Amino acid sequence: MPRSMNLLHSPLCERGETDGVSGRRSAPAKRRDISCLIHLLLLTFLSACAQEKPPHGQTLGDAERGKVALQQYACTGCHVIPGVVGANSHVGPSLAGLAKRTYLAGVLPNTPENLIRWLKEPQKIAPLSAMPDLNVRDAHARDMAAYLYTLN
Amino acid sequence: MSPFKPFKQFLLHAAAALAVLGTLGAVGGVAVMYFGLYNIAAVDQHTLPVYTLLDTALRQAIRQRAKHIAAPALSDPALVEKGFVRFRKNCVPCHGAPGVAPGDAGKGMLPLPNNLAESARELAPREIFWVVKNGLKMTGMPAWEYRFEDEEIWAIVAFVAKLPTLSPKEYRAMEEEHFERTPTSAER
Repeated sequence: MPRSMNLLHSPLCERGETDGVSGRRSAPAKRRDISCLIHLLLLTFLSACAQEKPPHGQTLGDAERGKVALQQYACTGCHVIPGVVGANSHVGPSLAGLAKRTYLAGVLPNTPENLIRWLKEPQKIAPLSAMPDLNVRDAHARDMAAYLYTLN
Repeated sequence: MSPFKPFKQFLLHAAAALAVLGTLGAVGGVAVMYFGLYNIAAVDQHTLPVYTLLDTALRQAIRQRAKHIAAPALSDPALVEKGFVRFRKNCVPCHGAPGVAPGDAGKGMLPLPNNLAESARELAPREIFWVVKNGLKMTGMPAWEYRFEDEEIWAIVAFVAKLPTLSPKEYRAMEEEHFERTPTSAER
């Protein structure tokens, strides 16, 4: 947002040019106002599109990074993960269609918060599970969750 | 005109085409290698064709070389127990165990060291023996021939063969019985 606010002070959106007597804006000034408004709206829209995801506070991370993290935390050693080459093991359940799953690990309702929690401390949630804690960092868990939610 | 002439001509053309294609292929292959085009980083996945090629070659090579190895009886509990001690010390750091995560070095590898409970279901004991003894090129799997006697390797195989029958809880109980209680990964 601040980026587009700055535009009010840019030469594109000049202030002033009001009629000295009536206080109304002249016709060319009005036209400029409209053009300025359109530019502002366009820029707000574009900057919203280009905005990078904040690293903190956001539930889900980056799916592409998550794909690599799934490999680097040995998830691929036990699970089939569509889109990850070499993830074809059947030690645990396949993660295909995870986005549509109702319960995670059969115990947690499938929400982004719960998935991230499960990735970080499965043994706390299901102590009998063969899935060990893998010391997954918070940011990495969010990235992995982002990728897993592309599997539907 | 000989009736074989058109056929001969076809053969000539085919040979010429093959030679040209072969040369192009070889030049392309050398270029990929020389200019370092294939990313060897462990964080970079293989492409599916490369992965399939390597994985199939590996499986077939193991099968072929272990074919004539005769496995001894492996059910003796004393042998299994002997294998467990070596397994825990030398295999778990990279492969993990039921309910036990592999160590950081294992997790960072590509290919990822196999989950051995699954390997035990997929490979015959003689094949596991061959892999442990000889190691696997380019995978990070070391050869243990110069560290262990054959009999000790068979003990490890005997324990690995038991892995699919152990629940994580049972595995933990074995650890507690043989060693001082070690903290679970959740407590660490």
